[in-house]
Amino acid sequence: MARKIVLTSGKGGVGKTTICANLGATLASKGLRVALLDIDIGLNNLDVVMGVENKVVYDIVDVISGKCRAKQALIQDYKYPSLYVMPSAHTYLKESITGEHIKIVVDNLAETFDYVLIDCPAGIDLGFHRAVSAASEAIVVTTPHISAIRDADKVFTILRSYNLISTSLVINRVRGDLILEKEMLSVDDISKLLKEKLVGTIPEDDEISTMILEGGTISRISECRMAFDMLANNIHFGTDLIYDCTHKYKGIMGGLRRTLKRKI
Amino acid sequence: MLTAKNTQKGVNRLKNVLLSDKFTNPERLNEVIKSDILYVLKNYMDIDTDDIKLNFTLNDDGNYQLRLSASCKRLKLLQAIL
Repeated sequence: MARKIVLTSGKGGVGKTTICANLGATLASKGLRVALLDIDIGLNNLDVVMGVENKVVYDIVDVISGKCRAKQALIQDYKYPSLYVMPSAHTYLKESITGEHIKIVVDNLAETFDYVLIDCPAGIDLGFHRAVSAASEAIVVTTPHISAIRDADKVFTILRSYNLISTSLVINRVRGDLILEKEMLSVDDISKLLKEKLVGTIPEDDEISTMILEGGTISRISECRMAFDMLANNIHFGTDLIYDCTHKYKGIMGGLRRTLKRKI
Repeated sequence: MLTAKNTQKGVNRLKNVLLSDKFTNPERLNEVIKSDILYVLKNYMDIDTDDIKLNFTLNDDGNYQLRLSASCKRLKLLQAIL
């Protein structure tokens, strides 16, 4: 029986899809069977991020309307064989898809997978509620910006009215250099204010842009791989290790890196 | 320039924004205040957590009304208060 985790955020563009893909890949690299679901009906992008957009035959709406079986809509990742993606529909349809429909698909997949990660759309309207009602756990993704944190806080409040086993926080796009320059809220500041369980911090890394450009998940030698690994371990094994995004910018070499990053 | 001022300003802004978001919906603020009060009171007495009632309402004149009632089984050692 799989753990059904929804990745949500409230604010758009904070990295839900990227984290969904890479967290899924990291879990799959440990031998776990992981299914990623794109529930953003009409604005699908999990398939593009994963680099499987050319392999899409069926999508989640086909599964719900009975045109195909769930297995037929799953696309296997080329790098990690135990990782599968179910893409979302590429057009916004008039047929009403409800949370119940999504729940049935998720529960069906939960029987043969270890993890079902649900990529939730931005916002707190129907799309959000559809996705959350199918999950039993939630991870809220935010960036260290006040706008994103405020939205994340509202999402946590809304999630409290659902009967979820756990809700936790991931802070994405952390700029260790700006934190040391006191120009960005630190991870400590944020977790104190949001008062939620922090399970991971992911640093801002140019590698991610390249990865999305090429399509696919981070390679084993990537820098933020360690951050995703710690996140995956925290989720799977219950450990409590948070990646230190400021480490790279401390000391003599770190000071040099910071100077080079600053506007000259 | 290493000044703590920038992030301190940011933290205060964020604190105000988060608090004011909660204030627009007094029902949700209930839970936050209840747990904070419980945290303090349990140093002094054994409180029945199911029996604690907090009424937080917004009056027509814009003022907030807070009513708290709790029952406790016994008081703890007064040394904690000294």
